[in-house]
Amino acid sequence: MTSRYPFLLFFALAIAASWLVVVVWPHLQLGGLEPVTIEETGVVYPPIRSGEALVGAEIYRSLGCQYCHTRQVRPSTMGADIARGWGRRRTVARDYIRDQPPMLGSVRFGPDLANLGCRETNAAALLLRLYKPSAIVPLSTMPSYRHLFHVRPAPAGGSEWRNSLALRMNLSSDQGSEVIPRAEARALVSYLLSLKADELFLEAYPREDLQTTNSARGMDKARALP
Amino acid sequence: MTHVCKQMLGDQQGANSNPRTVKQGHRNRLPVWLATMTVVGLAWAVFYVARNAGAFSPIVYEMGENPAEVRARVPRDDAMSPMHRGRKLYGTYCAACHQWHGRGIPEQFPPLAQSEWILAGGPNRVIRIVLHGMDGPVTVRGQEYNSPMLPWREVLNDEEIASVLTFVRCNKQWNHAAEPVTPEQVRQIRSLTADRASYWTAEELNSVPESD
Repeated sequence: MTSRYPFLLFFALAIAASWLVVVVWPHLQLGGLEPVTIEETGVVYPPIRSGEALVGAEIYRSLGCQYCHTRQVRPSTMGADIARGWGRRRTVARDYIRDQPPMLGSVRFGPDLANLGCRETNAAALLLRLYKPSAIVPLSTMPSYRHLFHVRPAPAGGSEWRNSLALRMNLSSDQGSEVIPRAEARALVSYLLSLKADELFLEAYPREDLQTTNSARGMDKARALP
Repeated sequence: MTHVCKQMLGDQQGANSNPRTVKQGHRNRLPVWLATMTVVGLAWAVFYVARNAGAFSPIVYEMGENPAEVRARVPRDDAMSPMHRGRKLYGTYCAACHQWHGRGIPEQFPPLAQSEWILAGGPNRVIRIVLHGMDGPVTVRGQEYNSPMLPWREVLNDEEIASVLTFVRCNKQWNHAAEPVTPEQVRQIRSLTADRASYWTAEELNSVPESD
């Protein structure tokens, strides 16, 4: 074993093997996925996000939202995501084909956001959540993203800003001031509202026996949540 | 080279003169049990992957399925079924307000997806709503709505109303699996309410039993 060539050979083999299995193979398997047209509605899924939402995706990434929030719903046979009302089906690879990069996340300190746009349709509520998470969930450990907002004394005649939070929400610590979302906050919220992974198509249709499992686990109860 | 080897062997023999000496050539032999286990393990791995990898298709997510089974799961309906006709009628008459996704428009038009009005035990109330329209405040999934819905009794016949309500009540896209509506049920309610000239209100409908 005085020669170093066997070492280099096995080194190259190890790198090549992992590259083939981790990069090339998944690319061959999933790289050709294309958007689908939902037959009933004619909607192309996944939809192209608006420009504002694309800016919001970069802000989502820069704030590190994906370190605490996942964006993947597990199948009903692996965990309670569907029973909790985080989605009505598991997420599939096609949900992410327009995301660059896909921010699936790996740790859940907060709820899954794959279907946030289905649960929450109110931009003002999301802005409030960003400004002061504890205003909605008292024990929330989510940090406040106040730097996405202007806070200034409210003008005497009332704020002319329709999005001003202080006028629409009861924020006891901010009485007398108006809270105006910056462009970053608005873009981020428009991205959050666009998070929807609930269309059913080819591979996304749940198996019948899995649906039965869901209703047995009280999914009907979860659906009744607002 | 051989000279060095001999010398090493000699040294080894000299040093290991006790009974625990390692036999010469021992390392070169693969034990039969290990060879058997390796072959069995490899065969099992090949079998396992072939059986459960779903032909490495990007559309297979459940263990042990193949692409054909996934394709067979997509619901298909024939052109004459109430679901198919109902889907077309829904697109023509209902989707403008209630939207294709069935979630309606917040604060304007109530959702049909997962609506307690649609998924009620029987279709008695929804048939009345479609026949004569609805006005006044109504609470759907905890949200209040107040916009009028037009009556469709002059536009749609019994079969069409039954089809569109069957589509709405059984739409898998919305996770609905209620009982389908028959034209006979619509015919009965149409004759029961033949002399009605005004929209329904939520209060009035709440006094109508959900099912017969």
